[in-house]
Amino acid sequence: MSRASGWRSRYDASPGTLAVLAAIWAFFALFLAYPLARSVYQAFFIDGRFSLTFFRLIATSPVQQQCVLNSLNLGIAATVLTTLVALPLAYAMTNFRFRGKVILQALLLVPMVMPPFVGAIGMRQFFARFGSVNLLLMKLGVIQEPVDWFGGAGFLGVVILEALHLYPIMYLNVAAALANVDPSLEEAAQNLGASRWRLFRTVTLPLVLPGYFAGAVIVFIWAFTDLGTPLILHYRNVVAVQIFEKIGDQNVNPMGYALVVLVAAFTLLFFYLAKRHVGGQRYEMLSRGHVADRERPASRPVAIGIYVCALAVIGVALLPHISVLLSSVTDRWFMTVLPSETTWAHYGQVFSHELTLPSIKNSLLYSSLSTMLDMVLALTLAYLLTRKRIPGGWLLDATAMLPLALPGLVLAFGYVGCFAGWGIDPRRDPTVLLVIAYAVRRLPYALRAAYAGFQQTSITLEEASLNLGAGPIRTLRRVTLPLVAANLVAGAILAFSFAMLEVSDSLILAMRERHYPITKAILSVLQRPVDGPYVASAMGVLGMVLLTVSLVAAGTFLGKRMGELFRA
Amino acid sequence: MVSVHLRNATKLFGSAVAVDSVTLDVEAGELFFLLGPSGCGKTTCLRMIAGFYEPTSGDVLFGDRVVSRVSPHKRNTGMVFQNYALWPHLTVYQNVEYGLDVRRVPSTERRERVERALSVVHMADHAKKSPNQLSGGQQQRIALARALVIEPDVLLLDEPLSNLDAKLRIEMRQEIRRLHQEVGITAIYVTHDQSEALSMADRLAIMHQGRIVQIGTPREMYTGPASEFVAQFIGETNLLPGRVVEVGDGGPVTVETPLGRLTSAHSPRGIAVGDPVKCSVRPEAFVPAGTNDGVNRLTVTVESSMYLGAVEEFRLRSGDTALTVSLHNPGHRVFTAGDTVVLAVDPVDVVLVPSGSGAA
Repeated sequence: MSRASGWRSRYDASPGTLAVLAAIWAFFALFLAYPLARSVYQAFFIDGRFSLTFFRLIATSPVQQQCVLNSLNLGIAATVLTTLVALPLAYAMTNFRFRGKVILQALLLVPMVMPPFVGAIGMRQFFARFGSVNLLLMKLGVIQEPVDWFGGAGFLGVVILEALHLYPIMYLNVAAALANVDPSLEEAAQNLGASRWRLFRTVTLPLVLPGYFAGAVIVFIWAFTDLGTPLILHYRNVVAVQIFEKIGDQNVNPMGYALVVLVAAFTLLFFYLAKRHVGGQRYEMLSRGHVADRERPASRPVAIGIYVCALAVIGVALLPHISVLLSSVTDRWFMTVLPSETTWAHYGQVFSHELTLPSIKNSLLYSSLSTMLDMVLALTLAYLLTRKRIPGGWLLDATAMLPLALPGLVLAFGYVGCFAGWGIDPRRDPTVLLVIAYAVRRLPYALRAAYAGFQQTSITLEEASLNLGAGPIRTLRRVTLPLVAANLVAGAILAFSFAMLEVSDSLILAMRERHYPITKAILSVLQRPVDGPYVASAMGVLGMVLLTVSLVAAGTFLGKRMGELFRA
Repeated sequence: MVSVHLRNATKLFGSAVAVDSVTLDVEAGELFFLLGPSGCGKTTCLRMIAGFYEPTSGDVLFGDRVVSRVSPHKRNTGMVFQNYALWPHLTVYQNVEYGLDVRRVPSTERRERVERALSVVHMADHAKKSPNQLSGGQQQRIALARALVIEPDVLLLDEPLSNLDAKLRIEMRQEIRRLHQEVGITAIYVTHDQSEALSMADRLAIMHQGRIVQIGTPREMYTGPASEFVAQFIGETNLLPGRVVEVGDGGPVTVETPLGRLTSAHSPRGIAVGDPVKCSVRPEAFVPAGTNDGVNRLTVTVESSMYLGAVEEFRLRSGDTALTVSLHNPGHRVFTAGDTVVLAVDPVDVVLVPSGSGAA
């Protein structure tokens, strides 16, 4: 047995497959590895010599220390808060059956439809010193003096806004994990005499933990690296804002690179820790077959309890949305609980303003191009990973999933440095890099969706087609694609809608007004005196509508498997 | 219709040997079975014939044409998959039509052939349904119709009945056998169910650990197993260890066993006095000894019995040696536990196999 034929019997290594593999690796090398490597290089080498100067500067500067600490605290606080909200809700929703559950479940996911930085615009109005909440409470005589809700620094405000936006992701993950626990495993424990609490502690919880960590890592990384919300709430002492402010002098001051490397190191560490808990345990219990219904009917008090809790959460979580809606129709809102005069004019502004309309067009262009790129990549990768035995398959999978752990901030910062002077220099025209950044960032969702589709489609269905004389292309077209179409569409919708609302990389890469995507335009419009916040809110509402429609569509295509898309 | 041949076909997965130098000739029009326990390489053989696997070395031939490296879609085989592999996004009709569509059969002829194929498997009324609306047995028929409608050179069946319940399985055996005779096609059928193979096959090959251990007709295999493995795998058997004490002239061989002397009417080539052998005797070959039975009389004690309706199965013992015996129509003579009884067996029913061969 020669080595060559050993290789041949181990892998499907036709020239075509190898060429596709090479192209994909080249893409990752150029747009993922190179920017990261360059950031690392810039952070550690001064004039070609290894140095820890910048990290020493971070370590010794009280301001920088405070920033890192603040960001970590943000991440941890948001994770804890979402856990407290999502865990009990997920447990109740998967274990009990009651009237109106489907609607309640859908409502729980609604807060996702607006990025937290847009919510922040409205919430400023609500929770300001003389904002709605204080005025209302003073009117009711609950308080005499206005309360400083978000405490001068705004930490609490940022955490709350992020938690309210992110708890659905945690909820989806935990609920999916709970639903996947085969009830017979729990029945076995009950049969052996375990009490309900003991059962939860020794069987249910360990089985759900991987799903919980998958959600927790997404929440943590998101809050840890969020740029938009702190910017709007003027909470500038976080790493994300620091990095953003160092884009301009990137070439003269490598401090930004050092911070980027630090952030990447943190996120990768947490991703790795979470992955170790998730790793390999996820599919063991998916031995379908007879799966008993785990739901039991809820007694009236239990059902009422669930309703009260869930509606309270939803009510609070929708405050930002309501505030933005109100703000978007405000003509006058000063020292009153609700706007004193309302108008639709801001929506008119959205469609006539020289900045906003092009930004919507730009966003649509960038997002649809990046979605197409995602679909091509996801389809190819999922096909290779599920249908071919390729060398280094696990590494390819891990690389494609890496952007989950990689803040848009880090990627975009690297792009600006890497591609200066190239034809795709974002200073000249950011279209190509924005499309690629969006695509790389959302590839994990698209890939998981496609991958799940291929995995659920038995390979014998394709073999049957080949056997009946259809070639590989016809088989792909007539059998494989129709069968994975639902998953692909869902993946595409998610990739598209998230690309539309991409914040950090949009802020960094789009440098001229005529290239602004909608998110950067919102921030820019916000700065305008007088009606800035109102027009920005109107744009936020439009974005909200768009994402709602997209998610509902994705949900119809995917059904219960929706939760799987938000797993690390 | 075409003959199918494997020539020293070997398939490695990494360093694991799935099929080890298999040579096999399936005649045109034959219903040939590959039988063996799971993991023996039978499905790998079938998939090499279908073209889903390329042999690591050796060749696959259709007639005298080497097809080892021909892609599956150019082989004109019709395969019935274990899970049927019906496309859920197409109707029953479209599933069956698919292969004809690929072959660009004109639409009127196509319709005729699909309808004929569906009626041959008694499924003409279900053409518009989705495969998900059908029962397992119905899906099985559609899978068969889909494979047959293209008039393949070879029909390949991969454990097609393993997902059906026992009663339906028996029914479908006859059905497939009937279809095979009607269509007159070369068919290769993979199964681990020996009763399926015995009842349906023209000829069968038994595989074990990637190799073929014996090829023959069902009757040859059952009555003349070449090894302990074959004797045990096909049906139940008693294997009595012993040593050859007498070899008659081209005739009977006598073996000394713990139960006494047994005479076999078969003499394996090259057997000599003193050779260690095992005597394979089927449970149903024993009868209660009459007075006129001269040879092969065994005196044993009844340990337990199990009444199964048509037969009654007895566990008997003499010293350390246990025997399983089944008697048909057990209503009349019944042994009870503790009885000492005398059994007889016809020398024709005593088959000698090499001692310790393929005991795994």
